Amino acid sequence: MTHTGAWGPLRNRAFAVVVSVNLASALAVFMNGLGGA
Amino acid sequence: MALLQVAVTVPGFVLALIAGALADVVNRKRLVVTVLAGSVLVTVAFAVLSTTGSHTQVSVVLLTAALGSLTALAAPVWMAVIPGLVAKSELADAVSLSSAGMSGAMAAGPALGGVIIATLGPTWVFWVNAVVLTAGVLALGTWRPVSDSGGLPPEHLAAAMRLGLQYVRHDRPLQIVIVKIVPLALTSTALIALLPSLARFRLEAGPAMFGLLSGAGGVGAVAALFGMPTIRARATPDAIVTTSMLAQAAALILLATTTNIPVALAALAVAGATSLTAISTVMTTLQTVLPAWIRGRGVAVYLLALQGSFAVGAIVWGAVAERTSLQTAFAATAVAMAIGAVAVVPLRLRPLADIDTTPARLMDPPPVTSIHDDDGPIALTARWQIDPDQRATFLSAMEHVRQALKRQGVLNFHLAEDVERPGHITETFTVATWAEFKRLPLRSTRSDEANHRDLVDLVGPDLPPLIPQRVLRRQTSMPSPSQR
Repeated sequence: MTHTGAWGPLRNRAFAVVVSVNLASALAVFMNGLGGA
Repeated sequence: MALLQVAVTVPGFVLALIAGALADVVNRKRLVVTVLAGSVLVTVAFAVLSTTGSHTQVSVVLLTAALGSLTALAAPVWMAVIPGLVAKSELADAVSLSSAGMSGAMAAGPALGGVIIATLGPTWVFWVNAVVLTAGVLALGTWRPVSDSGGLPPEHLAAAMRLGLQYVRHDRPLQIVIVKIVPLALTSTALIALLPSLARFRLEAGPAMFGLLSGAGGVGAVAALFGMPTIRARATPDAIVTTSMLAQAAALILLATTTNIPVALAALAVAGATSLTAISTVMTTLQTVLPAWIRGRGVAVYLLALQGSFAVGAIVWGAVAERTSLQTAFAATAVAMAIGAVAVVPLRLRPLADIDTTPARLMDPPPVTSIHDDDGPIALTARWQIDPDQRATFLSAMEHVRQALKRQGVLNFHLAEDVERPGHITETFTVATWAEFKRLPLRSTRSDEANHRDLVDLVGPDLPPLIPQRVLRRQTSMPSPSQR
């Protein structure tokens, strides 16, 4: 099985977009929680 | 504050199974876009109430619960889409990246929020988030997911949820993944729950040092991310999980005994690194053992076990720390983690190379025209003729078939042998609807093909045809004698 290193999957645009949006939304939720508190 | 915690976490439990089924039944892109758009609306509502100063305790709790529910609805789908985005050879790296990113977001979110609140004021947190989430919705516009429903109508939500649970009951590799994550989650949560007290009372750290201590785990996780391709090449998934848990237990013992900040920072970095190696290994196996058609539901059950264990662990270790001492709580967690690591050793995660969940389309639905997709229940019968001396081999092969059909949604399955003619065996299974039967070939996987080959070896290449029969139900109003 070949692999492209730890950052390899980020070269795939669809994966990069989906993971970035997921993380950005998670970040926003954690920040919102703080603002709400 | 406690009420807000409930508003954030409870939807995760209540909505998990619905969210998992939704992830498999509806268009996954539409689901995340809808959830993000909903989150934008809730965040704007937060921002407006905060800007105008008209927020009340009730409105904050309600909006937090709404945001918690939206997050819960999207949680399985974010994970379920990953295998469809990358090649199988990159899946493990993709899962590690996504896990490390999530740990980073958990650590950076409150810190970033704190900076915005300190510099611009609390209202700006919501406006910034509304912009970030809107950008997310727009960015997803460029994503073109592919799905293969085989031209069949979508499953009904309630039936899809039931099937998710049935799948877990009949899929041993998935059960092992879930059992492996429980002891890890139950114990590793202690560190998150007890770190603030440890920093304040044992290490006497101020706010800046607390930030450093919290960040040490993130640094460890990123370092482990770089090391993961090498670690995976040299160790089996089980060895990675066991070693990670034992190393984390050692780090917890250090934290229980030290008051030295550099030692504590090093121990926290090890804990962060080993959490990533263990969790990403279990998650990669989870993503590999689940075929695409059930992935959302499988992930949801895993998340339920993970979040449940986190919650229970936090309560238990919090109580232990309160009744004894912080040191005792850390030492007890370390012992529990080491015991957990050893206890799950006999359960083997399947090596990734052995699993192929590509649809195999093992059977062709019989050409029947007088039936609609929603008609059911339907019983399917096949008449086998085997050498009676081979009965044990046949039954063993059919047991694998039974398990595979149960995973694929069959309601019941049985074999019966003709009393007068040994070796004449009738196989019967029932599906809820004709559409469910047509979905079975799409749900069979390459890993199921071995069962198929065993049967071909026994009876030759022409397996008996499946004969569909409508299951007759007792009429609610019995016909009167004159009508009979």
